[in-house]
Amino acid sequence: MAAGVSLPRAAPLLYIAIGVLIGLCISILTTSSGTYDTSFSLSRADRLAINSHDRHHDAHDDDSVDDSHAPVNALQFHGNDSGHHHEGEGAVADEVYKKVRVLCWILTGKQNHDKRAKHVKATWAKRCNKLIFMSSADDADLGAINLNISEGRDYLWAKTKTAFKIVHDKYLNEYDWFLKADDDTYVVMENLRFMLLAHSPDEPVHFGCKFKPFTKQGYMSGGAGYVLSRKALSKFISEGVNDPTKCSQDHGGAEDAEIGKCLEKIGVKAGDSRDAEGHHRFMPFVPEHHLLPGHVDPTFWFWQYIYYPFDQGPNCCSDYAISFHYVNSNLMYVLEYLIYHLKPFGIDRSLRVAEGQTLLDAAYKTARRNMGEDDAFKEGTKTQK
Amino acid sequence: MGIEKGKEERVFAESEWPRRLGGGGCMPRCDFRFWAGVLIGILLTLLYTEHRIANYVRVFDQLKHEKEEKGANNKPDLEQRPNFPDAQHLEDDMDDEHQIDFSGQKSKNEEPHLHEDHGLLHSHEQNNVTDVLFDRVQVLCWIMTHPTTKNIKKVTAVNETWTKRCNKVIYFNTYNNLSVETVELNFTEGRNYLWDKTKRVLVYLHKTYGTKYNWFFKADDDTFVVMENLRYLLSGHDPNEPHYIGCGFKLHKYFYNSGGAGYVLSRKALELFVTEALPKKECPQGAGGPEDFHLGKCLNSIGVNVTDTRDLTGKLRFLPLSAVSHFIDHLPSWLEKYLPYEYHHKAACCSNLVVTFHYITPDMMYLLEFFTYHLSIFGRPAPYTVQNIGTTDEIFERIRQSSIDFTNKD
Repeated sequence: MAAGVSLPRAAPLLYIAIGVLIGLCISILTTSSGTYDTSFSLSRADRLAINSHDRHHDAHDDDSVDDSHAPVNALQFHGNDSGHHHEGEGAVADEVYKKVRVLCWILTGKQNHDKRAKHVKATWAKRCNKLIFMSSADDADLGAINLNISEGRDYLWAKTKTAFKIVHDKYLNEYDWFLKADDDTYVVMENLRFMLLAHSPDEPVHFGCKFKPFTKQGYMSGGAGYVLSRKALSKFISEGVNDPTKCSQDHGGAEDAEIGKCLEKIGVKAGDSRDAEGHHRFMPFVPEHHLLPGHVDPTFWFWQYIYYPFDQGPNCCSDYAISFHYVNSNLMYVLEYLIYHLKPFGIDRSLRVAEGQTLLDAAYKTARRNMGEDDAFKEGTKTQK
Repeated sequence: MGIEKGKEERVFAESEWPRRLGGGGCMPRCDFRFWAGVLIGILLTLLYTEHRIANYVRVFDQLKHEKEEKGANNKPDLEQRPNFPDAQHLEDDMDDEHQIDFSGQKSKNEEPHLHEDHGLLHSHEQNNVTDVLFDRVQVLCWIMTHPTTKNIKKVTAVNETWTKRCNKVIYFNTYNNLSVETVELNFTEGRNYLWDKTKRVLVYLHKTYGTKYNWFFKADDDTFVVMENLRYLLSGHDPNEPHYIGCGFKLHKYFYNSGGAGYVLSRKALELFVTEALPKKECPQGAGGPEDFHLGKCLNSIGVNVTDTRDLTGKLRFLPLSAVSHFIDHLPSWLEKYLPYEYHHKAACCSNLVVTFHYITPDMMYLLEFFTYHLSIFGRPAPYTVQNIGTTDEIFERIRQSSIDFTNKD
């Protein structure tokens, strides 16, 4: 044997190890400068201009919502109210806020308190009449309570049942509607109230983005958010949740499908949340996914699931859209700016109020006229004033 | 016995290694196993990192600018300055496969019809205040672009979104078969001729439209513009005085407006540029270089300076980055150096009455169009408007006063 070759038997492995090291070094050197992780969907469009190798990478499942660059502190939009307010400009929304009381409960986990829940609270969720985070740890500042249920997708149905039970036991008669959302759902609360204004909380009904499978009347996508009337919640807890012939007694299962099946069995109707022109109001994905035609493959599961026709492109979404899903914290702030702050001067979409009409009456009539074609309780059980 | 024999052979074979590939002294280089190992190692690592790279993005500005920063001294030198005013180079990197054809699509929302039966007003239906602004503040928009297949998407996107709200829009220049107005002036295309092109366009506009429009607004094919907010801002200025309005930058002793964020020349400023500034020696005579900076230098030489377009809360109205960048990305160091004002990134960056965003891809154009002009909040309509009563003159005067009140007072 020649001198210097000390480990003949291990030599191939040694060489591979050296090779791996060299490969690692090369890879690190070529990617070290300037990689920034901003892979949430709105910036995808940005990225196309900035030399991206990907496209269509907006999140389609919970694991790919990117939190790695979530802001450390909640952002505040200061000084954006520059005293230009029309007197009484928010009056209609304020009246409707008092009339249509919505309790929002948001499914989260203690690992997401900082990266998501905090930002949800700093943006849209502060507009709920009541906000509770259903989590795996208590946090008084955030408003989170510990459900004391194991983590993981296999316990989502258990968490949903428990959360609704808590909300039912404590708050049933204080609120009219009960919204369930994820910590990556963005909701325009005023538009949710607008849709619900056409209905009575005493109707057994629930709304959301309707999917076809598992049920006859359809069930609502969990991520896009769904909302139960007071009557629906009452029936769910008193007639559904403990009855094995109505609701699955397991802890696992897709919580949205499970609650959909259960509500159908106890006679809670599935409303049509589209507007009168057929545009959708609950969006199960980010805006880009819906607004850009051809963005989604025709073989994508979504097309098999969706209950009503759902256009892609400018016709997808209602002007009074309610929710988007898979929205990470950064995108929450961008949406907050685009929806609540950026305004074109002079464009006025005030509600038309007739002589002698109250604001609430005008709002109610408008909401009624904008009900989805297939909506439940269209005749109205009783007129609201 | 067979096993022992095999072992012997193996041991014997191993001892042969140093001699196998000619020369005992060049181990391990000469052994093919080494290179096979290296290759496998590189492949494995690249596959792994490629998977991770697929989730990363290089922020183009930051990468380019930080690289340039490394070599530069503290003073941003013009030659090392990033090429951000001209986004043409970005187009080279745009993803070619992501084709969207909007040409056949007619959006239901675009047809202006009053949805009286549903009781809700759609924003594209002009009301009196926006009508008054449209008539009184006449803006000719000119878009800096050039005919390439990639730019067709961009031209289509801007044409289907914000340029509809210009009083007139001309593309310098694009294909003749797109249904947009485009003009062929006698210039060479290319990044090194942009200043020459700009000069020719401005001369042409002055000659052809100098008396017909009050304001001449330049944008790129990746600028998104809220025309109502542009007119609102302009309503507070007299077009018969020289005004040069946009996102003000300062470099050395010159003040100029960023090209990509869009800039406006009043009728008078355009006239003075063509008749007095162009012939001066301070006005760069060549064809190339950063057209926005040169224009600023040229105008500065006849005493025309940039206007401070911040709103009264100190927020910017012409934005040099995209909506997303301003809220999410790290503040690029070059931006801080060029802005002559105090600027707060993220939540306090951008005025509610923002006028432009830059680096907007065609996809984002449609998104911004939806969020600005379609998505509404029920019950919270217009915080920014004036009383819609009286004569057109009275309404305009109200708008003008409001606009003056809304400007930055520093």
